Amino acid sequence: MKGLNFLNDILIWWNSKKEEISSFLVPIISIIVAFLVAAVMIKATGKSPWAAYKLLFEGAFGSSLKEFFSLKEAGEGFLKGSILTLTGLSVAVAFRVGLFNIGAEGQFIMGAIVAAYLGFKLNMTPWIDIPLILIAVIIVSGLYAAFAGWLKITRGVHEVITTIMLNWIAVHLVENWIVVGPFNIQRYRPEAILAGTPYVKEASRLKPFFQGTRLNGSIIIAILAVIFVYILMNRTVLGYEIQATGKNPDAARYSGINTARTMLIAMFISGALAGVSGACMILGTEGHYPGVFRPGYGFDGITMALIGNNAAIGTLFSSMFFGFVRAGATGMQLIGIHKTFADIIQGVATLFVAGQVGIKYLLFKIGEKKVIKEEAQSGVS
Amino acid sequence: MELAKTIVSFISSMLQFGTPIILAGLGGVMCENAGVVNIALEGIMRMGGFFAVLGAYISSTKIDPILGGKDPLAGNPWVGILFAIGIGILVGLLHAYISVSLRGNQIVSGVAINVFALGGMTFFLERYFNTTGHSPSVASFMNKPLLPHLAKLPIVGELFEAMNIFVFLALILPFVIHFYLYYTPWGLRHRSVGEHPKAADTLGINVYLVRYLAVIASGILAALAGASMSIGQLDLFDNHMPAGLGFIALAAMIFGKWTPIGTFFAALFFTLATVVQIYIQTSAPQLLNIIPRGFFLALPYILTLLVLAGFVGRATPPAADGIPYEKGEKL
Repeated sequence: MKGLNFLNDILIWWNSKKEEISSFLVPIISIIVAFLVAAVMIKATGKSPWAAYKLLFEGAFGSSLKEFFSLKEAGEGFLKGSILTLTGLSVAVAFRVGLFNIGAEGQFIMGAIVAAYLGFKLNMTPWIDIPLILIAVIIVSGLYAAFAGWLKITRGVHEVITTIMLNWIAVHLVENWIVVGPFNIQRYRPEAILAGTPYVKEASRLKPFFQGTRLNGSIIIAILAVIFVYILMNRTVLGYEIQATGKNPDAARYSGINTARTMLIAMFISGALAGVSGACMILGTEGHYPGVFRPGYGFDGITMALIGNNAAIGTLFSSMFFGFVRAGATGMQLIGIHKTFADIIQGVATLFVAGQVGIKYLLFKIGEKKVIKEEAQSGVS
Repeated sequence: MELAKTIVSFISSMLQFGTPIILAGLGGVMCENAGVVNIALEGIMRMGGFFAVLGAYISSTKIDPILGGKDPLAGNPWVGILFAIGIGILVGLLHAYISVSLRGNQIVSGVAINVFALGGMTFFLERYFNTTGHSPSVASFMNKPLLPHLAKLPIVGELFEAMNIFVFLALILPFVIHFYLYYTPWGLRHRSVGEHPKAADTLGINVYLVRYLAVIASGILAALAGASMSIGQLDLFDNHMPAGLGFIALAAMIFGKWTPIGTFFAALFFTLATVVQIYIQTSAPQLLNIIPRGFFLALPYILTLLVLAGFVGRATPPAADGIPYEKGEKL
């Protein structure tokens, strides 16, 4: 009966650790189920899910190891992953203080337009320009998000509603006013046929690392942001205060934490991260603020944070994963599946994370039942 | 006479443009008065809009003589409405299952539905119509007044000309739902579940059932709002739909202080900004140099923010809005 005891040990261990482990398992299960659901959808259209996923994989990583290291395809995945990491961290930091920052999209747009403007105006060296632009972006986007936090603290307005409103205010004022009006490319170069704003000066661009890839400094900025958020959350007093406020604001207040100040600072950091994400997009791949620019990375950030358990490292992994899914989905267009297919996978995975109580319940139940059974059996023998 | 005509055509375009916002906003009212937040209005509108077109297309039995395949214009738009209602019920059930039964995060669920709708409808558009732009024209309620005889009247005729089935619903339902919520026992139960589910539970009201029904009703209304865009205002589904109208509807619901009639007027007020903007664009474009177009488009959201912040009136949501309820839970 040694085998049974061994099994029993596993189950007892599982029951003692199930909370922590299931927080890892839930996102993984959600992603797997999302891929299965999407496979059924592909099958229903009469195409082969296997072939589609093979194209997805090759589109994401390249068809050989050599191609992977040339970063021709893989660079796209890392690039998209970096942008997603930044918006994901933005949502995650707000989550930790107990606020739902649905406005990452608006803060992303604010960051993007500020970067487009300063990138056009400044023309020194990259080492001065880029930090200067990022500081300006951090201030503007940070304040834009902090405004929602301020309304929450002083007026008691739910931040979900205010950030949605702020999103659309940013979208309309930037896209239907600034980009088509005072800061349109045709004001500066009347012969231009392009829509959008004038191009950022060379000195302010995040240039590709080498020929044949589009991967640029965004990934360095994203990794620095991950390290920053990790240290902030796990090693600083402010991080502790943020988490305490998020877990139980009343208890935090009674223990002497200024919860209002903590919320404001957390929202500022959150907005700043989303803004930097937008700036990376403009200074990197786009080069200017295009006429139509609604990539939705801000909304995607919500998924990234949720699947990454609102932790810095978790968000990095989920963002890189979906960065590659998004990059690879372009390859699926070969067999007539539109690249927005990535949204289906992301949407279904998020639904399962939202209903994680159900997944956890099933996981826990399996563990409990087996243990009782095993215990009863070992008692008989 | 000229003035009367202008006013009438103004009102008629307000009603037409406002219809999707009113219907979706009412969806929000139903849901949130029972204590479930629904930010999936945008996504459900998108699905409703697509499935309405799909229903109208599938119901066609005629074969196109030139292109082969179904003749898209020979279908029945009522089947489209049924399809929209069907998808509304399905998505409502899903949202209710996650937010009521599983007590999951309602906002996350809403975001997920929105994201799924974005990719999912593009996928279906490609599957059924081989395009990612817009579907072919199908049989629709576009330019089909519900009361064609009244449309021949002088001056006010234009009002009835624009009034198809969806506009009619958008005019009637706010008052029907107002009556339901404030003058019937079911409405009282509905609101009590949103204000104080524990108390409602103690009185023997099935909190879960009421919430399920409210979320499903909300799904149907939002899906109809989407259908009103695809087979009401137009006769096709465009991949950009509903272009943020779901969020305007959410804003209208708040601006209308979570009441059906308030939402109705808020939606019309928001539409006014759009109509004025279109009017200026066509008849006085030089004015747009002074007041930019983006400002008109952003106005509804700016006003909602001001209302929320308490600078213009005060808006308080139902007390238990967004809080999952667990039976036997201590307060």
